[in-house]
Amino acid sequence: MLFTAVLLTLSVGLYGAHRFQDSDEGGTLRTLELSGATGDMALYPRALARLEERLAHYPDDYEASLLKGVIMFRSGRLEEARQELARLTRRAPKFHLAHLVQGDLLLAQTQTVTDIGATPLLAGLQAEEEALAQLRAEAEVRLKAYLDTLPQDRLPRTLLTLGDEVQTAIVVDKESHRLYIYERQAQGEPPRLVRDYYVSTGRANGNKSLRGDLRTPEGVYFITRHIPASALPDKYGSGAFPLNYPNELDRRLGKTGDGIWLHGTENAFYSRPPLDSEGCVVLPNIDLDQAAAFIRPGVTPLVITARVEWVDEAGWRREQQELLDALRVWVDDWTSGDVDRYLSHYATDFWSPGFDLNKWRARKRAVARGKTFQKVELFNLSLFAYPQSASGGRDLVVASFRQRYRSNNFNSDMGKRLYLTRESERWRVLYEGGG
Amino acid sequence: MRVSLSWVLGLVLLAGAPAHASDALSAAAGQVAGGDYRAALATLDRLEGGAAGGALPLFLRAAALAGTGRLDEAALLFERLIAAHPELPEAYNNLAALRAQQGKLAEAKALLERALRTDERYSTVYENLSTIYVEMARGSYAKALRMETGAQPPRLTVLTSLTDTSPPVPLQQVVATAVASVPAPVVPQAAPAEEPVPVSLVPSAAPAGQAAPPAGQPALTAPPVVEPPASNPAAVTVTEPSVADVPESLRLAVVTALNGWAKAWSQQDMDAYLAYYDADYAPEGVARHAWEEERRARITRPAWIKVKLEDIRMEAPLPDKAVVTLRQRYAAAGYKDTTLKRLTLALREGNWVITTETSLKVQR
Repeated sequence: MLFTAVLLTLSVGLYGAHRFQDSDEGGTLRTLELSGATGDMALYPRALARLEERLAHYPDDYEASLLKGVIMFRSGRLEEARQELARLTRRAPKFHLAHLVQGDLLLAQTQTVTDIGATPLLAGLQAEEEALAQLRAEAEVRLKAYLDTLPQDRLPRTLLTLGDEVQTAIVVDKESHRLYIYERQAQGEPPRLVRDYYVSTGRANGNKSLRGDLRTPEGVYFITRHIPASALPDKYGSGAFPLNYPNELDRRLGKTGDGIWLHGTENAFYSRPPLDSEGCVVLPNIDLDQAAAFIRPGVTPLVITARVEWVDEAGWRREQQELLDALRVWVDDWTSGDVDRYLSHYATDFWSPGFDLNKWRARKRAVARGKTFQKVELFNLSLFAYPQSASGGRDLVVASFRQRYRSNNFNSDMGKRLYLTRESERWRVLYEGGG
Repeated sequence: MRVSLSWVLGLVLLAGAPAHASDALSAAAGQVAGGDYRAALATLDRLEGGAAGGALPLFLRAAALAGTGRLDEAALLFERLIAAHPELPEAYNNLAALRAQQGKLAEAKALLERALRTDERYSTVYENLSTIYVEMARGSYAKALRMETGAQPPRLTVLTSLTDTSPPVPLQQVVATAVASVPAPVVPQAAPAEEPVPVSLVPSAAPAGQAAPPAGQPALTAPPVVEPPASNPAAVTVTEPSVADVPESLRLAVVTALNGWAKAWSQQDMDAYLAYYDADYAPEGVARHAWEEERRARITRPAWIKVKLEDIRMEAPLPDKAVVTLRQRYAAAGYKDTTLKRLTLALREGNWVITTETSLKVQR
C-alpha cells in the first residue's frame, strides 16, 4: 500500500496530532470483529504477553504463533499478523487452521472479516461445512486456553502427591481440550506445570462407558507401555501410549471397551479438531514427541477429567495431609494386630479381586490369628483425587504405592493400589489390590 | 511533522495568490505543520476575500480546526473542500482520518476509496492488488480445507496509457487552475540549488537545461518553486503540448468538469446542469428545447437525487476533446440504477462541456 502510504504521509503531516494509523480510538480501517469476542478483547494484551513469552522459550510452538497472529488480527494489527502467519504456514504447511487464518488475513485488506473463514470467497468455494466448523472449533479452543487466566498458584486438585519415583504426571481437561504435564518437586511440595498442549478427544461428549461409544474415559489412569510409530499405521502418527482403561473402578462399574491410547496424528495433518477421535487422547506429533520425554511407560499417571478442579496451595496441602493421615492410621491399625480397628477402615461396598467385605473380613481375621508382629512400610506413594465427573458423585482418592510387608510368617514387597472413599466422616478403603 | 515546508510553500505560490496573501498562507501552513493551530486559525482569519476561499486556505483551516479538536467544524470544511475540489485525495483522506477517529469506520472506508478513485492509476492498482489478495486467499483456503482450487490465473486490469511522471495530484490541480486562469503558461524556474526540480507540468519544448521529466520522482520531494508570471515575464515561453502526451492537468480538468456535472445534477440545479452541456447539444433526433424540457422535468421532480460517477476512464484525449467512459450510479427517491456511459467533452472558452452522451448499458 505504498501509494496509500504516500497519500497518507502527505496528509498526515499536515493533519498534525490526529495521526491516522496511530490513533487509539478506532483509528484502524480494517478490524476483525468476532461475534461475542468483544469481551475477550480486554484479555488480549495479557494473552499476547503469555504467547510472546512462550515463543521466546519455544520459537517453534506453532500454536503460539497461530494465536499471536489471530490476536493481532483481531486487534487490527494486520501487517504483523500477516507476517506471523506467513512465517507459520511456511514452517507448518500442514497446519490447516493457519492457512485458513492466512486466507482471512489476505482478504482483510479489502473487506471486513467478522469470523474465522467468514468471507464470501470461502463460502463460494463450497467447502464442507463440517471441515470449516471443525477448524473454527480448534481455533476457539486453542485461543480460549490463552485467554482464560491460567490459574496462578493453583494446582489441579487431582495431583495430591506424587511418589518420588514418579517424576511427572499428566492431566487432561476434556472441556478445554488441554493436556497439562506436571513435574514432581520436593517431598510434600506442589508439582510444577512444565508444558501444556492442545489435545483432541473422542468425538462424542461424556464419560466413556461402552465399547464403541466414541467417548474418552474420565478417571485416574496409568500409561502402561509405549508403541513406536514403526509398529503402527499412519493414523497414530509418531507413536502411542496405551492407558489402563478400563481401570479397577471402570471394571467394577461394568464398563467395556479398550484401546484407549494417548497417540499422535496422521501424517497429512498437523492437528485434529477438538472432538475427533474414537476415544483416544490425540496430540500433534510434534507435541507428542516432546511429551514423550516426560513419560515413563508403566509409571506415569494420566488423569482425564471433564474439567480440572483448580485448588489453591493451602487447600491442596490440607487435603494431602488428610489423606496421608488416613493412610497412616490405616497402617498403624493394620500393624497393631487389632483386627476390628483395622477392618473399620473398609467401606461397606469394598471389593478386591475375589473378595467382598464379608470375605475380606473373614480372611483377615483368620490371618490375624497367626501374627505376632506385622510391619508395613509404604514407598513411592502417589495420591490422586478421582475426577468428580467420573466418581459417581462420591469423594474418591486413588493411592498407588509400593508396600513392604514384614511379619513373623510372611514377607512381601509389592505394588499396591487403593481406592479410598469417604464414608461416615472417614476415609475408608473401597478397593485394595495389586498395582 | 513530516511534510516538507517548501512543498507547502510551492503549493502556496502556485496558487497564484497575491504576494501578501501568499505570505499569510505560507505562514499559516507553517503554523499548521508546526502544530500551532490557534495561530494558524488567527492567520487564516486575516486572509481577505477570494484568497480565503481557495483550496489551500480551506485545507489549512480544516487541519487547524481538527488539530484544536473542533472536529465537527473541521469535517464540514473538508466536506466543502471535497465538494469544490473533488479531485483532491488529501481532502478525502483527512476527512477519513477524522471519521475514523470518531469511530465511523464505514464512512472512513468510503472516503478513502473515493480518494483512491481521484486517480485512475491508483484505483486500478488498488483493484488489481485486491484481485491478487483474493487469489492468494483462495489458495490459502484451499490448503486449509484440503480442496482443489481449480483457480485460473487472475486477470488484472491493464492501464492503457502512460501518464507523465508528475508530482502528486493536488499540485497539478492547483497548477491546472493556475494555468486555466493565468493566460500565459508558466515555465518552472530553476529552483534553489539544493531542491530537486521535478518535471514541468505543462509539457513543453523546454529550453536545454530545464528539467525533463525525471523518471520515478518520489512524490514527497519538493515541487518546483514557481514565480508568479508578473515577476519574470521575459522567461515565458509557450508551446503547444504534443498530441502524444496526455497531460495530467487536462485529464483532471475533464474529471473536475464531470464531477461538477454530477454535483449540479444531484443538487437539481438546472442552470448549472445545463451549463455542462454544449450550447447546441441535443440527443440525436431530439430538438434542443424538447431535451431541455425533459431534463428539467426529470431533474426537478424527485424529492432528492444522488449521482455518483465511478471508474472514469479517458480514451486518449486530444488537447480540446475528450472521450470518457464512466459508471454512473443514479439514485432518487424510489428509484436507482447504474449506467455505463460514454461521453465526449470539448473545451469551449476554457470550459469542458459535454458534446455527446450515450448510455451503453443500464442496470436497475
